[in-house]
Amino acid sequence: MTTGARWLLGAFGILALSGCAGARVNVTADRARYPLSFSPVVRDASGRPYDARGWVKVGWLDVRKTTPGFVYSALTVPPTRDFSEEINAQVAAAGGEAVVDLSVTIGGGCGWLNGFPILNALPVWPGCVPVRLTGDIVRRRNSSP
Amino acid sequence: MSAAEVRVPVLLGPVSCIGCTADTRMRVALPVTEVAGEARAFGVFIPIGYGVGWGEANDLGISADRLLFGTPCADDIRLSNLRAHAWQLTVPLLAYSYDVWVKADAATVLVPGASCPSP
Repeated sequence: MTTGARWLLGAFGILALSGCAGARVNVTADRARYPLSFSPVVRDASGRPYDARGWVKVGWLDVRKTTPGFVYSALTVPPTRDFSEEINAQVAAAGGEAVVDLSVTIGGGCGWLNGFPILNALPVWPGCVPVRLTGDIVRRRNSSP
Repeated sequence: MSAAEVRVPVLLGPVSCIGCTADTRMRVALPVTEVAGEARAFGVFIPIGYGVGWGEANDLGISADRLLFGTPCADDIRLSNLRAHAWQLTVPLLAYSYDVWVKADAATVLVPGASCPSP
């Protein structure tokens, strides 16, 4: 076997061991009992907006859920994750009226699993997506707790 | 994904305002635009160290600010179909690539009687 053929064979071998993994999930808060705003602004029932001057921070929302995926991220179980229950519990515990500056981020906790060499070439190898919701739990300055 | 610089509510979930119940103020929502925050990278493994990589990351807040540039401050923005994705490709000994994103559909929602934030 020539040197060129060996290089070619090696390249094919490496490519054959290439793989990928991950997950895709739908994020919902369909049963939330409080307004959730990605901006610093939230309205009251009259339509009046409250920004940072109008509310006071009473707590910090932090909810994390990691969802596994299979078949190179084509199949995620479950396909939808609802964050309502944790949001409702944390807002109620802080005595808040709303969540502002909400942020959705994906952490790096699944990098090793999604990028695991060789094994992620297998369709049964799991990947995952770690979703984190954070925000400020607030209540209006002029409201009574 | 955030919208920290936006001056109107950017809502997720069924409750539109403090003291409101679910869906009590949902109105016509147009137009629908996709907003996204994403990060991508491609790297090459080298024998020593962690390898080298190139990538980019975009914050949804920037997109949302642009989206809202022409939006009346009496309107709210409602996000729906929020989805998150993480994926990585590995070529053993050679290279890796990862793709992470959060996307959502954004629509303006009319808020009857709404007022604008004071300057």
